[in-house]
Amino acid sequence: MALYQKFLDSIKGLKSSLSKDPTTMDNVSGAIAAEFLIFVSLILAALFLRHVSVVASIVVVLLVAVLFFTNMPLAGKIKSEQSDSLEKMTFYVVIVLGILVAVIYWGLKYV
Amino acid sequence: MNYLIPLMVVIPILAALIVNIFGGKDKTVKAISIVVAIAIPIIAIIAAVGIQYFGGHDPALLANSLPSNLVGTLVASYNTGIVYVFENIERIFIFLMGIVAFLAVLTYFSEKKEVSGPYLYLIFMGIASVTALMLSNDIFNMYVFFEITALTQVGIIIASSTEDNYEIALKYLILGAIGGPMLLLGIGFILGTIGSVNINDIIFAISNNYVNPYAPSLVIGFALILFGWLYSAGLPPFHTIKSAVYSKARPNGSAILQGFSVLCMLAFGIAMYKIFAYIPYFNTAIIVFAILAMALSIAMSAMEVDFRRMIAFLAVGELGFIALGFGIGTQYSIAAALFQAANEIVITALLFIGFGTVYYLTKTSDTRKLGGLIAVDSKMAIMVLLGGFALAGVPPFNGFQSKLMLVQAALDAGYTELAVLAIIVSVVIFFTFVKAFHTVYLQPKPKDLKFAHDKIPKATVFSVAVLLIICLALGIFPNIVTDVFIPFAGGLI
Repeated sequence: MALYQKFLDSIKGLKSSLSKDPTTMDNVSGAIAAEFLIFVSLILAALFLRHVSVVASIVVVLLVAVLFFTNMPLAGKIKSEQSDSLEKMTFYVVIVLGILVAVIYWGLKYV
Repeated sequence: MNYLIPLMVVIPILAALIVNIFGGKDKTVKAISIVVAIAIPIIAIIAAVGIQYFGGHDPALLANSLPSNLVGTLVASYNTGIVYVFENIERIFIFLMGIVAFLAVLTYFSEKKEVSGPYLYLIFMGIASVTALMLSNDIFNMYVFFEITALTQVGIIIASSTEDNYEIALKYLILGAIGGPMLLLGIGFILGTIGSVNINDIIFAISNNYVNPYAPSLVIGFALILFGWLYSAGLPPFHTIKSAVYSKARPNGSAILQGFSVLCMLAFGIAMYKIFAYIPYFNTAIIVFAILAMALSIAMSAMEVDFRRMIAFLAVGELGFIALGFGIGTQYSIAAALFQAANEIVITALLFIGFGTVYYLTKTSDTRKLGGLIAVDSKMAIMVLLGGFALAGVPPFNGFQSKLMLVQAALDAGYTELAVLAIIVSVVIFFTFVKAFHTVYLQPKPKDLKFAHDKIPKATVFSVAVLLIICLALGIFPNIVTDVFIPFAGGLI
């Protein structure tokens, strides 16, 4: 009986670990939707650059396409980068602050 | 003098102090809270449009008593005291925030028998702060009230007693220690250059060439204030922590927190637009962050299995639509952004409180452990579904009207790609919401799902129903608010 119980417990453990597996129907559909959204957003954002510079827009669209196809799927990577980890959040906050100040402060000198 | 303008801030502050003092006496605290929560939107409705000069520092009156050497100088026209401006746009947003706060407090009382004085203190203090933020015409005063709002947000998370709430509150404080000081530093640069923190004075000095509009101190001030705006609103790179903040508060607390974020975003967004819209690529910078907010937050929500976090990401993603309207920069697009902001306050509150009933019933927000909840309360399930439709922009709800305005504004301005993006993001929002709704309400109930409560309190059902009615009313009669927003937006550009 004890052996049977042990076997049963191990099956329950396996089942609970499987239920945490991200590859369920819901999660796959969510990940695919996220992947498409990221791809479309990147391309549209690159196209938006045409209002600043048409040449820059063409270069960025091609770059985005190449980068996307060589790195896909992106959704999982983006999810792991947007975790609740303080290190990652601080990293991106500081990076954005640096880019923003540099682009606006020095960039405007060339406008 | 219109005393109701300062009273909009004073009354919630007094209420916050009183409910904290009476903490433990539940009936007294509940009575005071309900009365004040009803009073806030009523005052917003009945108060007359006007300007409040604190300390009687009306520049028109002071001009007659100035020393002769100051007459005709730039300083002579400056506002020497704090100024509150109350127009119809402030009326709409303070009213909506008041309604959401009232319904959230009502829901809190119905779901919790022993009320917490400190929790209610934080809610009222937060309401007072965001109201002052909306009214103030002084960027330093705005910063002070924004910091109070940020601290009350942290307090609300800590007082919510949910899993990992302390950790998220601490992280928000740490990131706020970067965002807040940068905002203050930006304001310091403006003060150092112009000599005033009053928005009208700054605009006057810049537009009349009293200072070089492209002075390095002004430009760096803009960059830092833009960064502070991202922090105050929860736009990238602060979207992750903001969504974590929403998901760690009680559902009624989350409903209020998202309202705070929308008002902070609006107040600083409008101030930034008034002061810095002349800077080249100002609109482009805002659009970049709008696209990032929409793409990253909505993609994250699509992959989320915790429904509270999912709604939190959806709420942050919706902020991207508001930013998009500001970024396009036409009268119609800014009006659409304001309309979208008004809608978001109501719709997201509906979803937090409505979906919050699932957490109330089961004490879990993991969609993998949920199912079959439509059998518990089908009316609530339908109201939540309709709220999701409003969020995604399905007619005849308010979300449809504001998103349609945004798409039209983008097309009119020649930003076809932004119009396409707004539509695609709305489609993914619809998909994400329907997926979560199906998982929580429609799929078979798991055998091991246990209930902490048998039924949803009537006050919660009432709150969700009221919010849904507002969504429907604004969807069918959008001109109630757009008649105010369109002329206001015209004055901004």
